[in-house]
Amino acid sequence: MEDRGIIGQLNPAFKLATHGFFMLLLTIISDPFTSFLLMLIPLIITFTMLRLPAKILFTTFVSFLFLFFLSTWSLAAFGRGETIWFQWAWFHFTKEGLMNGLTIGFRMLAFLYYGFIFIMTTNPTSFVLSLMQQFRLRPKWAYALLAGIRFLPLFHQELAQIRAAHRVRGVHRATSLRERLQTAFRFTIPLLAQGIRKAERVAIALEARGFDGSWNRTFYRTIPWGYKDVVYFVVLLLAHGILIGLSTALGMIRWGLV
Amino acid sequence: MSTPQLLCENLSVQYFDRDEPTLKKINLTINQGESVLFLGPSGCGKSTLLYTLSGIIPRSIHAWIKGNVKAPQNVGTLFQDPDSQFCMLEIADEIAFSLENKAIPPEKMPDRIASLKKQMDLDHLPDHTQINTLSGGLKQRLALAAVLAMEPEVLFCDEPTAQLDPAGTRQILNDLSQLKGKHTLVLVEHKLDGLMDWIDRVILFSPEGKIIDEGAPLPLFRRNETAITRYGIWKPKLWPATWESIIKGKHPEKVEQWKPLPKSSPTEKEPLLTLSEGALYHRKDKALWQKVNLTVYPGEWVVLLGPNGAGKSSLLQTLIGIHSLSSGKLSYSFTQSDKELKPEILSQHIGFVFQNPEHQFITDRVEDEVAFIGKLEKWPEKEITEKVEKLLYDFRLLPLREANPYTLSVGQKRRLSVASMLLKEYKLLLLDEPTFGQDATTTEELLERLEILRQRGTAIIMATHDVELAYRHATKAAVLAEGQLLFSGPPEELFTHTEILKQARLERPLYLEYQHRRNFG
Amino acid sequence: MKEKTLNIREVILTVIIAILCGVLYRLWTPIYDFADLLTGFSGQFVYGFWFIASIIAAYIIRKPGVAFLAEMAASSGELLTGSSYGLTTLLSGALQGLGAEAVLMAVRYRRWDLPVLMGMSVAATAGSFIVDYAFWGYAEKTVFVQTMSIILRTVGSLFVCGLLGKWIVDLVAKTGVLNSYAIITSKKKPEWDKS
Repeated sequence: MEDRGIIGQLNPAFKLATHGFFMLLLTIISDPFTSFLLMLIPLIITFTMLRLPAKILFTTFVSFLFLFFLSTWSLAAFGRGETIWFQWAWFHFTKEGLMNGLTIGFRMLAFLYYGFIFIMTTNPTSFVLSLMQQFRLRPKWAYALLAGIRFLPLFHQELAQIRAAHRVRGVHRATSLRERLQTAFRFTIPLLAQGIRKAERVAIALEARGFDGSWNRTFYRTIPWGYKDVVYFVVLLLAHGILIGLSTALGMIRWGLV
Repeated sequence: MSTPQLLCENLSVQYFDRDEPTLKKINLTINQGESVLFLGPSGCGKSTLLYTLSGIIPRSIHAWIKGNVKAPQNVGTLFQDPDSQFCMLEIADEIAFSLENKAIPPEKMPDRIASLKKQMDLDHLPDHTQINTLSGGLKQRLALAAVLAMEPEVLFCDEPTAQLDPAGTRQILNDLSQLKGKHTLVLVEHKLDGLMDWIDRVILFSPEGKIIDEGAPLPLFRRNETAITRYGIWKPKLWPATWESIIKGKHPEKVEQWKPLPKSSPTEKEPLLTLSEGALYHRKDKALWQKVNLTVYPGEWVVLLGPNGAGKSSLLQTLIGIHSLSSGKLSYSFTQSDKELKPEILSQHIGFVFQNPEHQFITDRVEDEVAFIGKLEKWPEKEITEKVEKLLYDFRLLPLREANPYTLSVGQKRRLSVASMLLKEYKLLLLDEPTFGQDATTTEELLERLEILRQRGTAIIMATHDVELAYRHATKAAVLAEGQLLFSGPPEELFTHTEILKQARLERPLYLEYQHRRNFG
Repeated sequence: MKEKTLNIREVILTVIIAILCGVLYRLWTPIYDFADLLTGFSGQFVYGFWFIASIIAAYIIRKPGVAFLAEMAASSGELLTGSSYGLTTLLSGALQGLGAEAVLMAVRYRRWDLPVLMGMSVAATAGSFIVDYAFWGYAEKTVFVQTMSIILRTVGSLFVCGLLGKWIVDLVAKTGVLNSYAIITSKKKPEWDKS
């Protein structure tokens, strides 16, 4: 993994917990203004601290914006409220709905950016190792997860091959609804069959190499943690404190679930 | 000197889902430092024996076992699938995983990893190399390094080259020969060239799971020639001769088998397929292959040669419209416009046999699989039944007509995937490595069927690594390597271009090798 | 009775099923997004597909914990493979998995028929709504949209999760690759136990 600055050096498991904590905090803020302010924190971290090329920053921003609109829309167009602007069939545009929609939209953006920071700064192997070393995830599950994610590109290729093969066989020429439904999910069978065989082979191979899934093992790589992780949490906590304080002072904040 | 290290007495093994034992009353002793090969037809239980001796049965695979097995605790196993032996993403981590399992102190690991990488000739790869980026041969090498990290007394290998191309196969067999004597070696392997000259002992199995003979390789082969031929086991290419005796003219029948078959040149003037200046891009900037020109006439047999990853599969898939050309032009005698270059339309004229037969199975019964296209196109019931029965009979699948395609053996699956493409007569048949991993019998049968089709006017394009097949059967050879079509023309001519052969990592076919050796001593 | 805890083979299988389902989810997401965007709830009918990993894994392996762990593996798989959604799905995955697991607990891991699998789907749906109400403001939608969402997602999950999951696994079982897992072995008895 390339150098992603200071955040790339943090302990993955603690980083996960920190992000989770502030995401939960966001869910009990129910006004758009505070949500917007708090969303700026992960956004600014992403733009200033990850050393990402502008192109990636831009494309993710655009795709996240789309999801922002999607979640805002789901409440703006179908939300409860007194001040009705427009109503047709079950479409129900209200002022309150839009406000709630924006809250949810900014919350969504914040979640996505927390997720994005995490995946861009975390090496999957280190993440799983630190879940095991710091959060006591059992080795059985940790190594199974690592073995599993290795297969992801392979399964994608496999899926493409199977669908291509089925197109060549002419499954699209099925006529009845029943046939159509069956052929639509038919490709899952070879995919699963192959995956199940691979799972079995990996299990056999790992056991043959002396893996018993227990804690009775040493670690080639130890994932460290230390003051940096505490600093990261404290800095985020301070930032949230300041922004929440600001919003309170302006009288904008509303606590509670939306 | 000869201390027995592995021992089994009256060993019988039966899987829970079988009605019959796979192994029956096996007695076998293997001495320390010996290199032993288990040989037999597919399904004869040689892998089961290997798994039982190495403790995988019953530890990981459950089965009923009767009899005695004695084996050391510390053994290692190399498996056939290069993709399913790893659990880490980077190569150093993978070797370390074995060491971690043995609870070796972490401070000792870097040295051990470095020395294992050196031993297996992997030291040119940095520790953080992603395993997914390695070739099949290198993956197997890494797997071997990870197994050797356990310092096994016995090394078991279950068809370690089964999924490798010829270059990877040579690599791994050579690696194993280096380990001879250092570890006791027990192998199941079909590719005998590169193995016969160093293995100590061969154990020959009958299809019923019994040991019928054992001993040094060459005498054993001589004693059991008929059985081995009947079982469809691949024989070493030169066997029973040596280059010396062949050049002296002692085996004219052998040389005769290597000659190209008589090939009628296509009579039709109008090409069936024309691909001009074709290119397929990975991403915007990276060409998988480009400047590919290919013309195929009805009744031609074209082989597509080239190393793994050169794009043979993607070229075949482009020909049936699965991928669209990034630039260039593809046209068929039966298409009018580019809009028809889609699998939905092209597959009405072109058959495609995929590399992995399972990918193309779409029904739950062997019979339905073959009948599928007929039913889709609403042929008369009677015609379908008759043709299907004939095909099933020809491909030795009639007794299995009710079976689920997935439950067939490797060879049967391949035969089924081809049979299902023969119900309808296509103008062009595309095959992606159809002989890969097949036994000698299935390969021979398949090639005979294809030759009959070709003579009836079907054009065949086949991706393969098999230079003998190319030389003997093909009317045209095309070589795809380094992103380009390096050659397209008669196979006889291809094999005179030493430079191209080197670039595409191809060997010379035996007949030309014979002529070469005869002329230059 | 056989061992209750998962062995390495079953753990890896659970993870692989989860990863495979992750591959399928990627095909599914655009369908859902599109269907849901326009009307506000019609995508709900196919929402249940996201719980299929726990149905498939539990139906095959038939041990306590599999349904929950399969969902957890599926969502951490998304995180590990670089989906920004990952952190969010981790929590919803946990609640969906807990829902499915609760149904199995209620039948004491003895029944594996269609009604139970459908029950798991409904319970997973309930779990998913907890997250939607807590995080995504479902309580503020109009009563009509809320009702429709609940009905459609629940009914839909019966089909695209329970029924589809069982159909797929039964077909896969016929291929013989599951012969050493509980779905097949639990039906086998030694000669002397057959009545």
